Amino acid sequence: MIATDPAFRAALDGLELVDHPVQLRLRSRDFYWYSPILKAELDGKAADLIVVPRTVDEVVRVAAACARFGVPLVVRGGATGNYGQMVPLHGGVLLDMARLDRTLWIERGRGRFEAGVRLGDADVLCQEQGWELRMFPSTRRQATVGGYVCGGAAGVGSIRYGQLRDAGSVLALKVVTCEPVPRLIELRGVDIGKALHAYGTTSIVVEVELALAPAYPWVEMVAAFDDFAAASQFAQALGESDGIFLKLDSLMAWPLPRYFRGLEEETLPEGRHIVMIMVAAGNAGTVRDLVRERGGAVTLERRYVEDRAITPIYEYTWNHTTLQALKVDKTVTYLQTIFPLGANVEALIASHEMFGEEVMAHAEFQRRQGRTNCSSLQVVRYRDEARLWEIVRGMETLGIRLSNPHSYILEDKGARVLSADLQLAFKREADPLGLLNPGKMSRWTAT
Amino acid sequence: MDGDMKAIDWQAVAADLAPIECITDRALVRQKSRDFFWYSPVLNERLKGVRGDLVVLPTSEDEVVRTLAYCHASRIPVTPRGAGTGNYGQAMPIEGGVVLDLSRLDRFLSLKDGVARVQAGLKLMDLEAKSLPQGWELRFHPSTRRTATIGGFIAGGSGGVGSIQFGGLRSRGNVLGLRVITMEEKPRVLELRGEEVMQAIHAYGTNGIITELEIPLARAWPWHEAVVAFNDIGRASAFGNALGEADGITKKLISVFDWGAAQYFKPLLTHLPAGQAVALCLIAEPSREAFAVLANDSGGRIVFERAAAGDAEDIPPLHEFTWNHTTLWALKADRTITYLQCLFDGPDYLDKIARAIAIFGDETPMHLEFTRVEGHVAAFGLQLVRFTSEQRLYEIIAWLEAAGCPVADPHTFVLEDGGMKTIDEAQLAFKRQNDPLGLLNPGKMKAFSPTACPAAGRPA
Repeated sequence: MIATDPAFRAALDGLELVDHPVQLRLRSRDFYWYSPILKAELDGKAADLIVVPRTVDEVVRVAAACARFGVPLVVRGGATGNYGQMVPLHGGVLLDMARLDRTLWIERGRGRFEAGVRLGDADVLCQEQGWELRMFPSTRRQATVGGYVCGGAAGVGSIRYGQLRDAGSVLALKVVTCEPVPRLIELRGVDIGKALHAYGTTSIVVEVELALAPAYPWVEMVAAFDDFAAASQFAQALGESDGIFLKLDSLMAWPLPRYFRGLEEETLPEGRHIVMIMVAAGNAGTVRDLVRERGGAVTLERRYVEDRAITPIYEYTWNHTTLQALKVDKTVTYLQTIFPLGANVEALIASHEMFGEEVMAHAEFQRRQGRTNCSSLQVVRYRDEARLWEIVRGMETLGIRLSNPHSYILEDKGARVLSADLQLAFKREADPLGLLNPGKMSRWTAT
Repeated sequence: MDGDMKAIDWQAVAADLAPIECITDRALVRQKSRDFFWYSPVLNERLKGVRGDLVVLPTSEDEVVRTLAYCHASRIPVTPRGAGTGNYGQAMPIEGGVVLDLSRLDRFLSLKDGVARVQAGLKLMDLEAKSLPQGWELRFHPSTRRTATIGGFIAGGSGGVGSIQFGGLRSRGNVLGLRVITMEEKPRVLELRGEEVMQAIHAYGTNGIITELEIPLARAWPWHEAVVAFNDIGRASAFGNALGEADGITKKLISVFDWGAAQYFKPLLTHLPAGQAVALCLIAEPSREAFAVLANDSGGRIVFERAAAGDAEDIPPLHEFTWNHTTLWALKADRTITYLQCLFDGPDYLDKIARAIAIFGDETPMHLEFTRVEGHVAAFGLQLVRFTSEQRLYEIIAWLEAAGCPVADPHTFVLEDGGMKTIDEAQLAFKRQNDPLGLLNPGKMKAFSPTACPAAGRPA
């Protein structure tokens, strides 16, 4: 095995290497086991060697060695992905970015971070200077900045700032190519698309420059509704209220709240559908009024504080919703779907009626092209694969499109053709040997 | 009622109100009875002779209450006034009487968690002078930020610079509370919260006197000004829409003008390519790069940019060329010009704009303010109009209305004929409760007719 070849090891002399089998197995996994399909496909996949670089120079050395010896190279951030984005399909080196974790600068609404900085740490550092991250995944405490831009798409904050791929969210990526003599390239503007959400298949992201937002005092709220349609319409109306400054607007159909540990019973009343909200403190009263007007009840209202001892409500939203359910019931899985703009609420209500409790509705409201829409991470009582695809086809009749979370293939996430073209072309240039995260970009594999 | 007013000895009223400061000087009273109604030739004809009889300048809520009780007893009309920066005679006392100048009620009361509580007469600029050092700014403000008061804005305005982020005054959540004094024998002090505030927002002070208000502020950004030039207005408006819908680019202002309107921006002219359409934008510092890419991709060229201006520069802040300031620049050059206010909205709103331009051409030089309306991006048209006659003006308005572009007629001082279109039942009911005799800003709310109102005169 080349990764254990003495000549290859010699090329990495002086770097932190890990090759203990337990570590190799543990650190080669992400949250792909949400999916029974991916679980069957990816269980047992592992790297042959872990390298833990501390500087960009060390990353360059690893890339050079892999290129010279023809060793596959997969980059690991916090390993909080859900589709095996960072699971090495063909062994090789796992580049663990956890120690490449310096915050380079934060100023005037922009921050530049090394790829391995944890999002939670980045956010706190920004807040100390009056700024905060525009958006983060529900895995904020574990995920890294680099992992988020390579494997993520949106998150807490998207109700205000849209998607990670929207122009102006990510300002720059510094990448290392995988060549015998690797190059360092600064991607800005539209070029960011060459590496953004590419699962590290096109280059190794070592630095990330993000646009920030001014920090607000936030209030966490939970609103409960008897009626699912009323809850959906409320969540949409809330998202469309230009005068209400939001960070989170998440809808969960009963019985999803039954799985949520760590919140009081009165916060999650039996049989009620809930909306989880983060709102600027100044608009908490406005939300309260809107909840009442729409026939709901506010069951939780508290100031958001940075405190390890408290589970923030965002840890029940986005991809954490499924995790909370899985903690209680190993048989559930989930879907990831995109809704038709302008008709999303109708589709949401129709899908809830179509499948009942077999598909527990979970919608994350967010801005898309200036409008409020939702994507959904429905939790599914899994029977078998055939039934899962039947559900997907049923959704499609309602105009709801799948962004398949049961596939580790990049293009299966509904990547737009333009960015797929851009990424394929860049991979030819920056990873001519096809060593970066092999097997994930189907268009490369096909050529 | 005009006749009744003449019988009153205003010097004596002033003496009765002492020590509340009053102005009786005719020239000063006339000055304090006017706003920017003369933007409209129609209003100019109708309102040019309007004047109050006495200006009262209360410095506390108690003095407001005393003034109102006195005027109620004397059946004297009272028209509240902020800084008089309205454009439709909102603050003009068309039946004479007292002009209640609230500019001395100007205390900044508190700022907590980004919520400011202030008195109504506080100037917007002074409000921000207090909030900016703490990192907060107004969510949106009119182009008259230097002079307008917050109470005047809320009672007479609708939106402005920042509405592309937060919508307008009528969008839920932008005004949290209002303190309102009623016009009764014993004036009551009301605290309106939540949606109750809509009863008094943009009601021209016809149904209560706003003395205090509570508004949520926005965290302040470092703003950057930019002007982008385009070969044609079509491209410029498409850019305005694209920028408005770009969720990752933080902006506070997107104003688009064709050359017919931009040619009047005298201090900016050295930077504006003749004959081109322009977009005037305020962009958050970290969004500059993405903004420049979008401008370029949209066929635009950045012809001017600078960090948001201080007050000392040759070129005024860019927002002073936008919203209702645009018409002012045009009027400085050409007194025959006036303007319109319409809403271009719906999935085909860019087409509506194109059709309006195609049919009216240089008769209505285009001026667009992109804004958020009910969760999406739309544009207000504040077209300039090369005025020929009132009849032609209303032909243009009729065409716009028929084309699905509702017009908030800026050539009327009547509340319902302006932006509101229909009788706002809540505002009308609120007036019946708070001003049964119809003494507050009379003549502005058409739907209201007062209960029997004996002749005016000083109380015995």
